[in-house]
Amino acid sequence: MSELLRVVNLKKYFYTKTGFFGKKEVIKAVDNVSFIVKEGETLGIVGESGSGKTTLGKCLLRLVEPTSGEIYFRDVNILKLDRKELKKIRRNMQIIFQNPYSSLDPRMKIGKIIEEPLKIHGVSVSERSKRVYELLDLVGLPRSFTRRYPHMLSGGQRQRVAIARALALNPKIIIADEPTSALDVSIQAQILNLLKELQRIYGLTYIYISHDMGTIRYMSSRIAVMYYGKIVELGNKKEVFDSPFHPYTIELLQSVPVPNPRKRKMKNLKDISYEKFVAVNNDGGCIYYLRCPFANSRCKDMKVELRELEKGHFVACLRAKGNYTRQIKLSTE
Amino acid sequence: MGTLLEVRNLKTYFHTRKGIIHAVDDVSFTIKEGEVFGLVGESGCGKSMTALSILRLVPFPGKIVGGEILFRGKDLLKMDEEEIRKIRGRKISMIFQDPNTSLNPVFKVGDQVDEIQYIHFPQKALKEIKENTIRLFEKVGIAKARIRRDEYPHEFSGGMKQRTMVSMSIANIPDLLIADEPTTALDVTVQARLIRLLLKLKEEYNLSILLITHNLGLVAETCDRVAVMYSGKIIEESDVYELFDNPLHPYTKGLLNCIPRVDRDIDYLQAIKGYVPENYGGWNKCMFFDRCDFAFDRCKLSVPNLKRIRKDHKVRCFIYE
Repeated sequence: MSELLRVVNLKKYFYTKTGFFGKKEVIKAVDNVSFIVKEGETLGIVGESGSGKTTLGKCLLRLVEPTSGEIYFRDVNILKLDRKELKKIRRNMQIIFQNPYSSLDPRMKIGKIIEEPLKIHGVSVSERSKRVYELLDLVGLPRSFTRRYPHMLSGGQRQRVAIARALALNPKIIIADEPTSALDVSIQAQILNLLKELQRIYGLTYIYISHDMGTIRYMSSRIAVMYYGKIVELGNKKEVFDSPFHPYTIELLQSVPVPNPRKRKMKNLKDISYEKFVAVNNDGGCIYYLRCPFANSRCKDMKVELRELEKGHFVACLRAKGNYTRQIKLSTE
Repeated sequence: MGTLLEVRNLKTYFHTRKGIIHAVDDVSFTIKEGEVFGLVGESGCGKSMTALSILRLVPFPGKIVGGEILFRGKDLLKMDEEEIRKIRGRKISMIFQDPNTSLNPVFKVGDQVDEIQYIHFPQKALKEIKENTIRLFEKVGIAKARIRRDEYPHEFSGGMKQRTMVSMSIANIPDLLIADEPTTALDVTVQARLIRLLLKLKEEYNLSILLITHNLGLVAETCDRVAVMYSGKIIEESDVYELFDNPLHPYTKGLLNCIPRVDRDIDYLQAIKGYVPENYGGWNKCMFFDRCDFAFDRCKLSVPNLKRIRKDHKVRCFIYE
């Protein structure tokens, strides 16, 4: 598989000020993130709220202007392009947003919504209406929906419209930012299956962003775990889920309730004060330091970089050594 | 274990211009003392309305039109306003889904927890109540409680606000705690901590909990018994182990099959086809009929009954009749 997208040292900082005389604060939403995405694969980005996963997704399309770094789409650095060139390249990159209740214009009919990207990119009128019907068939909506308004549709149907719109220009890569978090479980499964099916037919590449470990496992071939703007672990699905290295990944996995009452685990969670739980280490060392059950004194102020511990499996943790964290994990269970 | 709450043939309807929505359509269940009872279903199935009906807080244009809710043998639906107010927040308390909207933004968090104690025990000294609030904060894991009690809700994170709500709900040591999607707005790691806290408090105070959720993982993790709701009716009710080992209703099976799992790889999720129906005018057939893979003629002609199949396992489906 060839490389489709390469992200190098991407940063997005937000500057805030508290009050008129307040001190300036820097929020490092995306902090020195690098990864590649291969053609035809799905890279899952998982993290909790505030981890910077959505900002990262928006940076990739320049919907948010990154502070620094490089993003290559097939050897073209997107961040160096001017408006016209960017518009051309955006044909290949589309995004599906989290909330289908706000991502569709309530005053436009479904037909117009799906047609709009085609219009912007200069497709002829007759082509356009043909394509709209094609797309509706593809996402499993009846053709009569072209005349409806978004409010007449259910959440799942709206998300199908958003997918049809994203597909309109035959993109190479689709960034899906929590596409099912507003939907019920039975509808979620339909949408996930639709996305997988479309990927199989068109050889699409996905960047799938979510906070839900279950859907990430289902959708992705490789996974990046984010924590406070940094990627703390990156590797193949199997390795990240079945033999995670980073203590945060382990915590995430242990926190997800499994639908099996014989595997209850929350009662056995270790006690940790809530204050410690939300604390972030700003001493230049590991950001997870204050919360980490395996931390030692080195973690406090020694810089941590993402390093390849096993082939294709990267982790940003000083303490992880091959099977090391895995052994610790087992001993605390 | 004795029976704490018994809901019998509860009916809560919404009178709208388009027709009458049978949000809670003849629902019956019992909660025993010290038990965690789960009410599961997707949005619009009536699980929240069932909870609100228990406290008689159904919003307009909804109305409880029939049934009985026996709490320690006394019918909550027959009480006057004065009496039910003495139950709310004292014997039965509730935690809501969104911690950001359930606290009043213009009052200090500590004062809000004081208030619920003062209302039910006006004879208590204020100093004593304030001390108790600090103890409650410490119990739910809010550090530096003495300082934090004087902060405002906006200074608290989502997880902290939900912990404040928990401290408020246990302040008067109730018998029943209704938790309506208490962790839906929270991150998974925060959710895990909050659930652990609730389970700990349950042991400590011998609480009964009515947990309302769409998350079957949480149900497996916490509940003793479960009822699955669909379109206003309970379609399956069972002991938690039995439900996950041996689900009977096609809808329950479908729900269990369509959850993406963290503990194993799945190639293809078996989605339930179609969409959740709106329940205007109540059931005149099995409402799951058009989404069901096992449906036959009888399913669209009449309504199945909730039938006991095994000890502690009931299901509403013609396959088993």
